[in-house]
Amino acid sequence: MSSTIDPTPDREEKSRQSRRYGLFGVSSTGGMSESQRTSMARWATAFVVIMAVAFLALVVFGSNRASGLTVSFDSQGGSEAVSQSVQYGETIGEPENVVRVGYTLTGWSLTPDGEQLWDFASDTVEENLTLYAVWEAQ
Amino acid sequence: MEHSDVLLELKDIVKTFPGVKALDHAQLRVRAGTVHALMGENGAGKSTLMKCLFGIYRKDEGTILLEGKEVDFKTTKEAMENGVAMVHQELNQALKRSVLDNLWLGRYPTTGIMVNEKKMREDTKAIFDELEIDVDMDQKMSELPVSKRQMVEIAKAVSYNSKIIIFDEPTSSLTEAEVEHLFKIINMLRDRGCGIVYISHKMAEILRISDEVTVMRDGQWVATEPAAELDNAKLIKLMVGRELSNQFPPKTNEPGEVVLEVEGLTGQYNMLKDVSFKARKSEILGFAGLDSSGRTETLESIFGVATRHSGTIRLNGKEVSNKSSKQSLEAGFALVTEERRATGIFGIRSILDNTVIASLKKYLVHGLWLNNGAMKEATQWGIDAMATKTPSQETKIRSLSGGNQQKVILARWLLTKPQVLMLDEPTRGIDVGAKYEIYQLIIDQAKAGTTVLMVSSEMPELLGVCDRIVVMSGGRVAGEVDAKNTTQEEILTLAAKYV
Amino acid sequence: MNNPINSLRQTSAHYKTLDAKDRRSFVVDTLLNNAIYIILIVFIVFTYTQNPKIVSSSSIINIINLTAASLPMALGIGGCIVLTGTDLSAGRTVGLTAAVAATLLQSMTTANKFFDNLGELPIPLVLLIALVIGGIVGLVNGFFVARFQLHPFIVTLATQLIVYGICLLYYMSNGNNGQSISGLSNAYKNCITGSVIGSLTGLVIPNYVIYAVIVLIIMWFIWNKTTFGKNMFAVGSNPEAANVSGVNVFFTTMMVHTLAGITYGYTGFIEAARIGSNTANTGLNYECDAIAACVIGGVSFVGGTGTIGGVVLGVFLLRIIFVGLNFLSVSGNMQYIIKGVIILLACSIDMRKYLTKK
Repeated sequence: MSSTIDPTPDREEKSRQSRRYGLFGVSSTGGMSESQRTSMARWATAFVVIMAVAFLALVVFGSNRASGLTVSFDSQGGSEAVSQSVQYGETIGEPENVVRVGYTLTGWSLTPDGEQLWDFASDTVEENLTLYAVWEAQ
Repeated sequence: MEHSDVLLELKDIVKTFPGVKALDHAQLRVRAGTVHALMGENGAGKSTLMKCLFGIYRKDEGTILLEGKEVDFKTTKEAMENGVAMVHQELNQALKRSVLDNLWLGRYPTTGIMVNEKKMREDTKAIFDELEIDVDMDQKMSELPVSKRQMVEIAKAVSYNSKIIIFDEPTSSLTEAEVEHLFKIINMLRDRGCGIVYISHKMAEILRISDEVTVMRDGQWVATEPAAELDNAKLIKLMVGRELSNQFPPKTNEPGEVVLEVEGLTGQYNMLKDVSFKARKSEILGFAGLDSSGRTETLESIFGVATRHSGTIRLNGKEVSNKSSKQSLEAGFALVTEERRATGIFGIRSILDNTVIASLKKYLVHGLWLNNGAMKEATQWGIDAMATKTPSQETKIRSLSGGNQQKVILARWLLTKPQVLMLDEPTRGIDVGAKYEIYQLIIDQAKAGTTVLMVSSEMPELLGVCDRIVVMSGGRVAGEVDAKNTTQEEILTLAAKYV
Repeated sequence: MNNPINSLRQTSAHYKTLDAKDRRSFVVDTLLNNAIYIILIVFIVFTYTQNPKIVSSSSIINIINLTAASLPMALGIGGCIVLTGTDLSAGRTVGLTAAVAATLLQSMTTANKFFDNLGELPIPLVLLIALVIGGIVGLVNGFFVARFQLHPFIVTLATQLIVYGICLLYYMSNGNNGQSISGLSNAYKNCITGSVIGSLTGLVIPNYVIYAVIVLIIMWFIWNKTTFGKNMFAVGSNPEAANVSGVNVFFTTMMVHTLAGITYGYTGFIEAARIGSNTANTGLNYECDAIAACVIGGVSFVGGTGTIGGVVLGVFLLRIIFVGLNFLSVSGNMQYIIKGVIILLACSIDMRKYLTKK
């Protein structure tokens, strides 16, 4: 009998180990006393309130209605274009006087490769974005 | 009862859980230098009362007096530092760490910021010698058998200079010899003037070891009597509030022809060696033996949870491979495991989910999706047939008591309509009333034609329920006895054969 | 999800049985457990006062579209979280499958075609290829997690890197030199971003919303109505007990991850057309949003719990918040902080529920 090992501890431990996956380590709360549990629950309650307030505060102070969303322009080798500020859902005007020697400007695109052209007449701004100039060699 | 030597007094303790009044003005008075047994059916509130004392639960009302002073522990650490220790039913230990670490965790003796290794070792040795515990203090906890781990827990209690030591079901996984050693230690602690609270279901033990017995029922105090004035019948009457004339239901099953033949079962990773036996239809075959004699391993090997090195299993004359639990299930085997919490229940899931998990195939419509109605029906059958006490099918199983959890698990396996039902300690930690119900279920199953293999550490249970008993020793079959014509002595002799 | 009206009735019946003290704690509990919905309402009201356009039909459709785009992936990851795991490889797998789908379905007239001599492939075939690639990544994840019982965190961290490397090599191959892939065939674009509903009713809801609903129904079916779904919850709740109960834990774990991988493949297929121009950075950090959505939707890291309805709600809420922040012109930098706070909030609520309920 002495040469054998009781199989139960291994099994128990294995199951505990697999339970330990929980990212916050909550699965091992079995060993906590009720007081510790209550105090932890109180902390959690406090955190729920703090996080909720923090969220709303960040939203209120982070909201940037005055300056609005920013559209920047990357002229991709051409002359500098000034970025614009607009409100959500508004259209923007095409930047003027953007030139590059030896090229003609064919439009502005959402992607550097010129795939998705921006339609200044109908496309509206829904987030902060950058538009890239699309050039064609003369 | 003189008031002067009362060490611990719990007065009018009330504790309410959502929907349940677990303790209703419970009382307990423990005198110094005595062993005080706390008895009651499962759910009577014994463990809850002790957990309130020990700081695991907060009591709602009532007072706790320790040596005349009112105390209210908030954590287990606080309780231990004030001389109250508890040896848990389910040991909570850091299994990866050594014995030494477990003993001194959270209060390492230090010099400056360094752990004083020397002092720690000397103190440990002194305690181990005193208690006659033979444990290597550098061994990892997980390498020790349950009985030794319990000894470490006791040593820890002693090292805190505890005045009150609570033993919660200490013998549920111990062999006879280990129980003897435990009792020796308990007597030693008593002689030193400690107050011992001893919680157990085993009446013979209680009557042997304790000086006084307090019986609880439904969270209330029922009686406190000197142990000398009590006997089994009287205790049972106090506990259940009625006479329990017979502990075992009448045996109505009649064994038929041989259906299960196990030959030369040898384990790959355990000590099983050449285990062979035959079991008949409608027979209840018991497995007796000491702790780690290979009983559990035999069942696990047959079920395919433990790997077999060699050996054959034949059911109805045909060999079955049983390489995984899934195959065994399909072949008509079922296994109710010993450790309910670790390998039995899905705590966070509902009764329904827990009941149907092993028999899901039965509820498939066109082999594709599950029929909700059929699953609910099956679950309801389980609840009714086992008389499970639960508010609804949607209740999470972890909120049920141990006995009721066991009934759900039994229902789970009975729903698979097994030909061979294997039960590993089916009544561990279950109260007397529920035990009777479970015996009845086992006998009914056998009568209906199922072959039942049952492992148990409780000898009377084996003698009362089984037809034949296979006695195991050191991973081998030591002998086979007829349950009607054998004695506990014969079984014990066989059990010691290959130790 | 149970019938909401029925459960509301039960709740009110339960409330009537309580005494004054319990009533107060019941109210507090309800408020805290639903804190995320409450602050969401406050948030929407605030956004509305600042910019009333948030409740316009176009913005609501926009939110629905974005929800549909990220929902399938969240459903896949949700399964991994039910198993107390996670999946970090999701975003990069989307990137790889998007690249493959885009290169295989470029228009015949595109100048820098990736596969020069490739004819027009049937769209379902490419979808299948994307699903298979995603599935293989998931299978690898699942195999390591299930066979060696490794934590999914570390396994998927590794596969994420490998997939990203393959993705970069793919963009460099065939003389493409890492340029973005665009010029997708019109049939492909129409299939995904075209609007059948729009042509019938005038509401510009793209087709991928319909596909997302189909995926949603399939996933709901798998989670709730199949043995696999039941087994998944069992394994997530107690793998040892599941093993003894005849559940093939290895197979279940592997399939949950494979299924998740397939949803990434699907997402990649959709994203390629939705974005139009794909780079190696397509799909970057998608898994973060998906995991956050699951946690907000009540798929607990404790394992074994979670509902499809919860995931849908989580994805939807997260999208409302993201769109709302743009309505408020919150700067991109600030948006990251706010996202982090929401996730912590969701975790706190989850923890609180776990600690207070037995």
